[in-house]
Amino acid sequence: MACVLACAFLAGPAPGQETGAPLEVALSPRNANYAIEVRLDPVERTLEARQTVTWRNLQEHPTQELWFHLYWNAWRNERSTWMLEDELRKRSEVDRDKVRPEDWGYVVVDSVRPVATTRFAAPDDGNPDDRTVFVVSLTDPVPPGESVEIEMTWHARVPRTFARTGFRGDYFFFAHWFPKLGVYEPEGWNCHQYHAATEYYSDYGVYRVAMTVPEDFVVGASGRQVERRAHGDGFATHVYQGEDIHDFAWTASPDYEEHRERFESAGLPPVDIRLLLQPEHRRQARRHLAAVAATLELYGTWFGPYPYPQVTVIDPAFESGAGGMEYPTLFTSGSRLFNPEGGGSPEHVTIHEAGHQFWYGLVGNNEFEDAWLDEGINTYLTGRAYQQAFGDTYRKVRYFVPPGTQISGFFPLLFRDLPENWALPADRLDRYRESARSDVPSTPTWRYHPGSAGNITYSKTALWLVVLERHLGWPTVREILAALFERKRFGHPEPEEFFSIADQVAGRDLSWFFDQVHRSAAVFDYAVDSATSRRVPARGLFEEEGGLAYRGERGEHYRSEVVVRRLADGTFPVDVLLVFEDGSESRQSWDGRGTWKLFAEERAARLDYAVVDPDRVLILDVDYTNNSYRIEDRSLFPAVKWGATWLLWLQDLLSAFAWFS
Amino acid sequence: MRCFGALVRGLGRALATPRILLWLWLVNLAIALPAAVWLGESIRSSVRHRLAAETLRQGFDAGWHGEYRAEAGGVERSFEPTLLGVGAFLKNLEAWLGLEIFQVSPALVALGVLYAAVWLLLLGGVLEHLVRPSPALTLDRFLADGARRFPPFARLAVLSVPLYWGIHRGSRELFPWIEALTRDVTVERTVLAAYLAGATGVALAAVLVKSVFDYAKVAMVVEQRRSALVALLRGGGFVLRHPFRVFGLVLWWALLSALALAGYAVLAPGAGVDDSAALAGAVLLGQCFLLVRFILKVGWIGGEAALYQDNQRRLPPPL
Repeated sequence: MACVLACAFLAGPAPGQETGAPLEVALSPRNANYAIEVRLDPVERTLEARQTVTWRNLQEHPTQELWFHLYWNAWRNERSTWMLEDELRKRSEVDRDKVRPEDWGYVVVDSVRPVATTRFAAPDDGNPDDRTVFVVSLTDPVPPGESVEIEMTWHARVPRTFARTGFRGDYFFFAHWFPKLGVYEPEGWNCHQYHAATEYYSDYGVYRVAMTVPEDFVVGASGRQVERRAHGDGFATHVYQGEDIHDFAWTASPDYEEHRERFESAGLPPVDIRLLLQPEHRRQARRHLAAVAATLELYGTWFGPYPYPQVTVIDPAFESGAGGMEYPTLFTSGSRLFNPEGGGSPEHVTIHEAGHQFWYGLVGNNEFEDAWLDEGINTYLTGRAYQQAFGDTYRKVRYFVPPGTQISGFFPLLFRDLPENWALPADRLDRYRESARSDVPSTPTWRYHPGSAGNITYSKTALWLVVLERHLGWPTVREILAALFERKRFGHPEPEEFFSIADQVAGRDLSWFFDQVHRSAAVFDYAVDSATSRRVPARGLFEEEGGLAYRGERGEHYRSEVVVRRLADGTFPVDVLLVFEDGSESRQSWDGRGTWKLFAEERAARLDYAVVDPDRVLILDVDYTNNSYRIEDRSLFPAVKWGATWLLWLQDLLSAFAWFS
Repeated sequence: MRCFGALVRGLGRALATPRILLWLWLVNLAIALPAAVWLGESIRSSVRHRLAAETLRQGFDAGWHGEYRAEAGGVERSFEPTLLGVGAFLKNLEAWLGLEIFQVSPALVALGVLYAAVWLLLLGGVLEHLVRPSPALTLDRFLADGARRFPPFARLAVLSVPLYWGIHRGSRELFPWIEALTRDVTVERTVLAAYLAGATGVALAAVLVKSVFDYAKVAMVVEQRRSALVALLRGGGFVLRHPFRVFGLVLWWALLSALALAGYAVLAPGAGVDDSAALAGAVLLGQCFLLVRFILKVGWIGGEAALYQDNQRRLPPPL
């Protein structure tokens, strides 16, 4: 079924076919426009560039400054804010012992015109060693609605991959590589320093980028190719243009193998999919393309069509560190030499990054401050889309991890007895549980603890969206997201807009919920504390026709009592289900606000078990095991079963120790 | 004698005294079982009266496992559903290759060291019987032989520690070195080949050390020696003079072990074991597989003894 869904939309390949026409009608404000000419020296690993930035002031007050991100300066040295924060993570992204002098990167602005002065700023932490924000003071202010054009020249050294940008051998991936404007807001420039746990925020515009690289290099880039000219000196210039996008990424490598397909589906515009694949993943081309097609189809149907005529998928080089990242109209997936079908890869990462074309690319939230608006929502939707397109996967373990390295195992083994549901993977709850109290989600994301930011941004948000889905139903949640998508396409949504739309669409005030999952670090844990079912004596005088009559025994009669407790601070309305030995059931609701509640029933049948939240609406419950209580204890069999499984492993482990004697 | 012939002879000697195999298996089981009972009780207490018990009966409950691990201590954290079937053996093989078996919880390392010591005690009896088979072998005799050989064997084990540690340290340098060497290689296949070559080197070094110490023990028993150092020289000399037969024997043993593992992979039931009969069958199959591994292991040791004795017989009589 998965393949039928995913493959149905792919028309025949069109090798060499030109991608679609430029978007003539502006879909976005197009107030931050770039024309860049850049030349790559692959031996020295440097970039030389000239760029013209045309910026229009959308605010109602003038400004005499332009604030730029110089992201690559995060890897000039270990004193940058990015590097300092990265050290706080449990598992640092950078193995500092292995960084060589030539691995560091930087970007230097050589000239800016017209300009009065330039300076570096560190608006978030005042770190004097951070050079990731560059302020240009203009000679004249830019009035509201007016534009300014400035010309810059700059050069950069390409880092060995940090944060998914850089090089490995002759493989290059360029992301956040040029001096890039922040966003001018009513409060002033929103231009954060580069932080280890957050991503990006920019205005929309038109990008025209001419990239000069060795002639044998294949280039992939945001937008579409409009020109390619060889210079006869071993270099060629590739010109790409993209409209209504808020960033521009590109890649160059002599090894890419190109695959093209056209996505077509009734009611959705066609999209040319260009896949640049590592040759050793040739047999996985179909899987990548199917995942992209499934995303364009599902997200397009759920929220609105993907408006660009093309999308480029990059399968990055092995261990290049560039995989699993989104950029407008281009994204990186990531695969391995051995990647069995049913293991979730590369389909899952491909869906996720393709999904970002909608939530990040089209709805351009501020990822520095509210990363959950794209990462959380998209994580939730990725699971749903994956499950719908590809169904269950299986637990996968990769063996042969070289000791002392950070490489994951080369040889995967699928455990077909351990199915996994991507709509709700168990490890997502594990990650949330680990960081449940770490940060209040409404805190600006860049202030999250770098070690647990991902768990809050991705896992917690995706989980509470599942709760909302189970509480309100998928049609309502889809409608909420579609309304947000419609309103904020090519714009910058704020969290409160999401919450307000949710209230409107759901037709009720949901602030009690968002107060807990977003504006606090409340934790949910309901439990069945005790359940008893005892025979009730029923002798005595009972009313019958003709008055009171004595009855010795009325037969089997049980009083079942179930105590349900709220063990944490979070509250949520829950159902409590009592199931009796004769198969009958009793379902009652509880607003979940008190610390405990007694549920009692008198019936002819004995209670079998009781469950609080039997439909598992409240997926955020950090301990679901304690949500049930069965009168008869049946724990012996599983204990023996899994104890015996572990026993066999331990016996073999002991034999491994015996090797040394 | 060819190496395969030696393995066949070793297996024949192993199978000729099933009592020894049974004792070895029982000792292994006896040391592991209390820990497994403890873990089973830990699992049981976490699902007592809970519906998760039912899902764990029918298959696995990943949600429960996450909650269990969140509360778990060191030993309990070693419990994973991917220990099912061949997963347990692949995990240990990987840990052995990286000498990471010492990175499990301290309690399990202590158990492993205890087992290694007991194995050393039993090995004397095993070797004595493989070198000088006796149809009237009793447990007392077996243990007495083991006890007699234990002190010199222990000395050998102590001598082997720095060598294994050296291999461990070497591998910790080697693999990062390969990582550095291949840091600009963009093709996984090439990088994999480099690591496989490195792993083969580490495995060969480990096998070399093991073989030298194994043949030292064999020499000790065959030649009734007491000196661990002299035996080590004898064992080392034998390995150096007959590297192809020594490594050939190891390769045959490894091949048969891999075949046994493949057979177990085919036959091993998965998580769906949900009734007592099926569970008993699964446990029995697992223990039978371990028994086969003991047969192969004793067969390997027997093969080493056969190779060494055969070589002794070929030597010219002393003048």
